[in-house]
Amino acid sequence: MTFISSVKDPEALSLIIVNEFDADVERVWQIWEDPRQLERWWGPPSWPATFTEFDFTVGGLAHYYMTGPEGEKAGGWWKFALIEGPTTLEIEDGFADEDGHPVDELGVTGMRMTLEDIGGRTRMTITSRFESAEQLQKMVEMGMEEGMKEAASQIDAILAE
Amino acid sequence: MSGLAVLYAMSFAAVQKHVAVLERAGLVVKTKRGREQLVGANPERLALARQVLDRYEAIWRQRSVQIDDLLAADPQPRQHQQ
Repeated sequence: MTFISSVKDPEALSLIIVNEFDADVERVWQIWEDPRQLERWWGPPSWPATFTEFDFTVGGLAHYYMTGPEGEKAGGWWKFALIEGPTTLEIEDGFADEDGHPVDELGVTGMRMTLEDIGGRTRMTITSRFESAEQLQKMVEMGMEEGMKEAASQIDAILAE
Repeated sequence: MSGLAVLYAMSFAAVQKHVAVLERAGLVVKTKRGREQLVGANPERLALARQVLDRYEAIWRQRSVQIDDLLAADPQPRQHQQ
């Protein structure tokens, strides 16, 4: 298992995730800078991501959508706030509608990613910071909707057997 | 809030600043009692924050597994195309 630890701080609305991988820093950097590699891990297996735009420069934007089991789409956008290859990346991560336009009321998650060499292996630390409790509320409501849809489709599958 | 300043050995201004940040995030609520301002945690919001952070942690655990698979399948750094 490469998931090492997480620190959740509900008062600061932040989450720190630490992973360690059997690859060097340059290799792990590539899973972030190459959209074709990102597509292989950003979305959950049942919701793979497709990046349609990827301007990997400071201030540049990326657009992606994830495709659900029923063909439904969930969109997102990134803005690259800081790029210091091959160790540090800061991304503003937001939601987008079906046409790829930002959905502002869901807020923006600030994400800082750092890579550190640990004797040929790599420690990846992700710090996510959410804007406000209102943002979290909306995200939970949306997630609950998604979860209910998923459960409904599972029930449909069982009933069809 | 003056009580908080004593408790945390901070200036009253520093406490005010921290409380304002928490209040904007919806994590604490202020109520007045006479001349005093009372600061209380907003337990519903804190529970909500925990819930979302738990979900995010689960998402990152899943990503970690997928990154492992990717690195195992494609271990060599790709040459940059100029």
